[in-house]
Amino acid sequence: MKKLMRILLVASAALLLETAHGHGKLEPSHPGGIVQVVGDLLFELVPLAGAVELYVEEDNEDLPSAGMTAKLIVIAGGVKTESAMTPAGGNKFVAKGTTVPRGAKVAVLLTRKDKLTKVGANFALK
Amino acid sequence: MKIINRFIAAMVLGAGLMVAGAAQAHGIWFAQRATQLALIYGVGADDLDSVKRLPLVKSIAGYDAAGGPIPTRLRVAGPLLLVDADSQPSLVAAVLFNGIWSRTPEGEWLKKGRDEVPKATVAEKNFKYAVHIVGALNGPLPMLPEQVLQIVPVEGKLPLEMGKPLALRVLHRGKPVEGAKVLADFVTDPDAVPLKTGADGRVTINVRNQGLNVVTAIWDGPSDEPAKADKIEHLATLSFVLPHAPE
Repeated sequence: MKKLMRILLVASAALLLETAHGHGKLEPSHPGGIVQVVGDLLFELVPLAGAVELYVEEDNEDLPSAGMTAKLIVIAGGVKTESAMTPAGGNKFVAKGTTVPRGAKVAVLLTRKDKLTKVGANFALK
Repeated sequence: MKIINRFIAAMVLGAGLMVAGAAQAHGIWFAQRATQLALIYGVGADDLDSVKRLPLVKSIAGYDAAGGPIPTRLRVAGPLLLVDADSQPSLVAAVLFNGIWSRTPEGEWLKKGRDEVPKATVAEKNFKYAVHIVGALNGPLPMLPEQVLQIVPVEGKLPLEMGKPLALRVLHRGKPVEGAKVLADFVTDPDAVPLKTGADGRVTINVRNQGLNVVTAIWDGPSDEPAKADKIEHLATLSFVLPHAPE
């Protein structure tokens, strides 16, 4: 009986956790990634040496990057740089040849397949 | 005696309704709609027809994290006016001129000036201003062009939690105004007794919502067309979002 109660308790706790995280994880999936949530969209920005990657999820599922466009905006030392991020398979965009300096203000702007709907996110890099 | 008491009660009620009517002036603010930023026209829970009022919008502007301007416009999407910026803004601002309105002695509001309604009890120009902070505030809010009346946080940051104090200053053409009526939230508490700014234009509110907050300031300035309007009613909003806990 005690064992059954314990099993039931663990199972219900797991259910609660599942519903509490119904909108997906907020921890980055990639090393060095920074996450921002806008509505039901999750943006993960991954600054690398010589490139910046962006991963997008919608309702806890990968949002295919094909057919969409994204823009990377970096403001550092008073200088603003905008770079196109190209779809790179799956839910990934990449801006090659771009490095984000420490302390830079970074934003992304995603334009969806209808070419009208734009959703953006602001990041503050430490 | 009972008749007199009832008469006095009716007078008090009538005066209260008149005050409530004045407090129900419409405003503009920005709010998220289906992940997009929309320009809302209304008061309280009344989200009115902003599309038909698009011709009244005199300016729409977006600014990046360094305060640089971003090409920005409003896009009609069904019943909504959506902000369409060429880059990701940190601030968005708009101005709407609602025209000149006069109130007849019978209490009817007409969209005409005093020159056409000489017996008007009130004749005023109505300007609406809106500034929206996108995400966190990471420094002092700049004075934005065309925001003739603007609400700015005294410190360059917002609290993280509702219920915390937020010191604000109300500025007219960049100068502090005394006596501006400030509401902590135009959407969820439009009938609150307004606070008034001091001589330094300053007032402190308690942030009302863990979510969208639409702070409002109303101030009557002198008319620039005295033949048509006795005053200009400036109504400014500052909207921002305190994020909820992660789901």
